[in-house]
Amino acid sequence: MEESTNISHVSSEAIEEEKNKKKRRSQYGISDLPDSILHHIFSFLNIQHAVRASVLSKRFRNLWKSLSYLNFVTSADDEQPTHYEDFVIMVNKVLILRGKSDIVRLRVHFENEDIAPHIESWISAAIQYNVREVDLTVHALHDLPTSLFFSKSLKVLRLSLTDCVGMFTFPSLGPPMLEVLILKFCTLAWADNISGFISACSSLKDLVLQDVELGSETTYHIKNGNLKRFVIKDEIMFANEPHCIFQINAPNLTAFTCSIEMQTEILFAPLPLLNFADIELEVKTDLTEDEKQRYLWQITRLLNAVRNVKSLKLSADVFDQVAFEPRVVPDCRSMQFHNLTYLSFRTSLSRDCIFTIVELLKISPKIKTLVIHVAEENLTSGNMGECLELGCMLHHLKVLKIHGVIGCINEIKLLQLVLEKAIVLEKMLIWTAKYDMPPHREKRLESFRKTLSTVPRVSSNATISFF
Amino acid sequence: MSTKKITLLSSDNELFTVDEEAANQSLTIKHLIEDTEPENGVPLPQVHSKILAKVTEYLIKHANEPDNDAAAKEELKNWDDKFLEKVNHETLFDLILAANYLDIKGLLDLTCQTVADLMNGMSVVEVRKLFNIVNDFTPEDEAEVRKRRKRGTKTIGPSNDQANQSNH
Repeated sequence: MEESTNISHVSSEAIEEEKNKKKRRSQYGISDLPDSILHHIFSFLNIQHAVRASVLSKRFRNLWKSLSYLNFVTSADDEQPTHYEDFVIMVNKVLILRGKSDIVRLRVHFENEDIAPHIESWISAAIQYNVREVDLTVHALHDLPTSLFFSKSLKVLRLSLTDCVGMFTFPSLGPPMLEVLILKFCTLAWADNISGFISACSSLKDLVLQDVELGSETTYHIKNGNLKRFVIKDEIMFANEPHCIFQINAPNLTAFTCSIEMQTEILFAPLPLLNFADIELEVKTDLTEDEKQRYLWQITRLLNAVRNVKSLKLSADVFDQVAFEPRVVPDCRSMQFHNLTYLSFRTSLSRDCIFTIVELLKISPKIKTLVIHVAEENLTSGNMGECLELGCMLHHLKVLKIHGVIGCINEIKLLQLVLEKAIVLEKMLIWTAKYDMPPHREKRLESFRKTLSTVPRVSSNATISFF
Repeated sequence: MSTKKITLLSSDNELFTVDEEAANQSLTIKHLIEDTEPENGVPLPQVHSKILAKVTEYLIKHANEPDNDAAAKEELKNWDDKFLEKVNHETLFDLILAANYLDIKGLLDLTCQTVADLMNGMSVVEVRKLFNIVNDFTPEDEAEVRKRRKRGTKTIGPSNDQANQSNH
């Protein structure tokens, strides 16, 4: 840093000025903030705060009329339940009496079926004010508010439609500017053409499906050339089919997150630009041999589809029961994670899991950071025998982090492999498990540390730290 | 890989140095650097050193925000909570104005959200007291406003409004 403060001589004027400033500062308060900032503050609050604030002082009297974020929100946790008539009157009054400024966001959260008939008119009003975001949580809707789908200003649509009873069809034209579509806690078992609608949203960049009940289609074909991020998580249920397929054709996808059961299968057309994938797949324990085979193929194909990623987070129970082996899966025999530099893997350390890690490392030549979260149900059984003799190159690995270590033999073997192969390894960070372990915890960890310190290291810079 | 350093000059002539990547979170600073290429630090005549110290602390912490790492995000959120924990109202409003002037979206959201959280669930009387808001209505005005409001709507959602009780 060059010359710092430069106060060589302080005149009495400056002191006076400073005093005045201080005086002014001490009187500065919320009322002096410009409208745009007060709007910003009220955007985090329910509308009635702004309406109620009109009695605070003249400054606040008409502020609510120009708000651009309108939150009409109730929740089941409220102290006093809101009567639907009061709610309807409130929304109507605000929409009628507010000024003519544009609405940025309309948020209506009220799970009461009696308001369903009013939704359409509220949306229409908001669309006249060029609403950009609509966030609806409503119950038992009979029909979709169709005006929504023809809005030319709508950029973000978040729908939470519980217990929809209507049999409605999504239009085959999407709002032309829509960039973000979030369907969360939606019962859409009777809704038609969802995939057609998603495909028709020509500006769509973000798609989130979370806790959605679908049903009318068995294969959902989504084809969208602009889609950049796709998140699918929690229970995706199918009313009619136990097994359902998403076929995604989104060549510009850069990030993919899924957290689902393996009954839902996701197939991708090539994803040349994918950067990041977070894949969490659950299966029941004790799979039959048939199921093991089917799920192994399924996840191998999914991993093959995301093979261009730089960063991969993986958690797949199926590897507790069967080892990853791309060679046995047609089309995936020569798969490689040729860009992968970061891999995070949540796993038990069963024999199959260790095999899987070794396999993953073998096909990931550029890996720099490896993070392993050892699952609590750490299976110490099953010796890995000679599997670690498989030549596995770790030329770029600099950091290995392992969480939840209990000091078992499989952990030693894995870390030994890394220390023997990773020539540029800088850090090995080890977090021991926090939960109650079998007896002799301290003793076991002590001998674990000792054993590890005697393992030869190919990298002269490698340090090992315990936490 | 060396990162370029940016020097910021507060209204009371104190200098703060941060990495360019941290500074660029402020669109105002970013544009000032691009447009004027200042040599002796970026002058920020609207921001006092006391506030700029806080702002740079925020900028440094939030440079290289993790995109996809849930644990890192969680850590950052905890840091944010702590960052404003011991800040008085005056500083909070100064921070809001600075975040607004410097165009730092994350900091503006954080500070405005903090004010909103303070107001949430409070009565009119409590809000007045909390933020030193002077009731400048004449008694007639006030009666009129209240009447309108009452006629207009009952409140929705959580409500512990004691505004109708007493008033100084």
